[in-house]
Amino acid sequence: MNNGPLLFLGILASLATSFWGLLIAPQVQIGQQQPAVIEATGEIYPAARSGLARQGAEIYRSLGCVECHSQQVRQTGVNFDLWLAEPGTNRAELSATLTRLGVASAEVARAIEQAPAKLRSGLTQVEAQTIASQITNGDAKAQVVLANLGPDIQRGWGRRVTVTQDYLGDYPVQLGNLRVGPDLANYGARSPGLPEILKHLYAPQMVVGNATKPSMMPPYRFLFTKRKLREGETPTLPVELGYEVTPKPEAEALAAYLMSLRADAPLKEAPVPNPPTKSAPAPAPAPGQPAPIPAPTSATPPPPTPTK
Amino acid sequence: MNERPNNPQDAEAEPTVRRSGFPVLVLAALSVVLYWGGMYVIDFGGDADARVHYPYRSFKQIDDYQPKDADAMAAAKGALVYSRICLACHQADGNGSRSQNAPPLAGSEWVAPKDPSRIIRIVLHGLSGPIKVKGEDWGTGQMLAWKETLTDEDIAHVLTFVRNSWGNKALAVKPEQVAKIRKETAGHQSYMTVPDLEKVVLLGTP
Repeated sequence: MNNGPLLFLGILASLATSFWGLLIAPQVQIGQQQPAVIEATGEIYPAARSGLARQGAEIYRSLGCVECHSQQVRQTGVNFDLWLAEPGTNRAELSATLTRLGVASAEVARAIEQAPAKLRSGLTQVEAQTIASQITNGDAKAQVVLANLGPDIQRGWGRRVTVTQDYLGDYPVQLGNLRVGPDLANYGARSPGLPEILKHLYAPQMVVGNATKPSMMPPYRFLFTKRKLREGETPTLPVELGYEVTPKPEAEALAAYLMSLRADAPLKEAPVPNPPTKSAPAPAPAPGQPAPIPAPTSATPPPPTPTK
Repeated sequence: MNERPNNPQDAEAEPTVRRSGFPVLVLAALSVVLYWGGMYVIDFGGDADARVHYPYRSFKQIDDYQPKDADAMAAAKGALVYSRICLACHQADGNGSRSQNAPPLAGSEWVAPKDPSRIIRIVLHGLSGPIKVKGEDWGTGQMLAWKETLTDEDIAHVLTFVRNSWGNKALAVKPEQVAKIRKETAGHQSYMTVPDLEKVVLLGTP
């Protein structure tokens, strides 16, 4: 070995570089994160999962759900919507202003009638603020609303990008890298309730898909016990004709974990669209239903690259 | 053992290690990759801030997307007014310009007292004549009166912006304050001058 020291230094340098880049730098960057207080609600985020849900996380891990389900919502960009928050009293002037700003006359009538209503989408912040300042006059108010863009968000898998804060309570973090099934990062927000989830675990094809394109999820019947129904008995979980199907504790824990998956808190680093609501109390959403997600419009132009 | 005894070179050859020159092409390729990597980190590194995730590039960008309260909203609107009206003379950094005879707004004692009575008068009626800002004399330049062009709200927004930018820190200006002073000074015919302004007693100053 003629060049032993040189060789040693070279190997040391390459190992030290990767140790620095892959371990130390990320640790410095995100290793010190603490649960944060959400400004809007004053709650600590992320809240710890319940004991049953924590057991469910272990079931989720042991069944290998992560092989087919990811837990990360991606976002490609941001743009801004313009909402008419309050039409105010001077409707004639407002409708003149809106027409001058290039809103179609049928749209003008509808927006004023149904306010709060979305007027324009796909704007930059400055554009939206400029138009909003022209509309806002007297008691008529326009509001600029942030809109998150991306295929995942359009599919309704989440309302914002998932960030490191969302995973603080998880060990191991089950991000997943394959989407045979849908993303589950925000499943709790759209979950159909405990009986439906149990039904989904017992017989996925009964819940998702159709005859030509059935669900690809395998049934997890070993998480349930079943016995023949007695005369005159009605099943508590109607998934198989003539049988009483009872979830084992594992199935209940897994369902609790699935319902605890939420990633839609309005964090500072990942804002959630907050469109104006009617000043009169809106009808409360049905229990178990998630808050209404604004329907993605097909008219939205392709996401602009974020401004530098 | 010795299968090729006839080759004299083989017979003499001793295994040695020669230092060979580093290929220039590899060096060039490496520098290109390093340069690209550096630019990538600058672009997408998010200032190594744990709160910055793709598609955001910096925390300031996220912060600007979420005006926190009414004052921040007013300042954001004021920034638009500033860029339309004031920026030409007072400049984007608020440091003014000697050639246009526009004194600095950043750190100016005229801009950021607790009581905005004087600065509202300047924006409404303009300013003429010499003025001393941050210990420096500014000549006989003239600021135009904006009472016809800007509404009370515009003036309140732009002053809120100016009073909270470039290191300034002062209370927001409300449209009502502007409306009150506009009414009080409705009879004032010409530009404001420094003696006019000094007659105005500022609240909260000894």
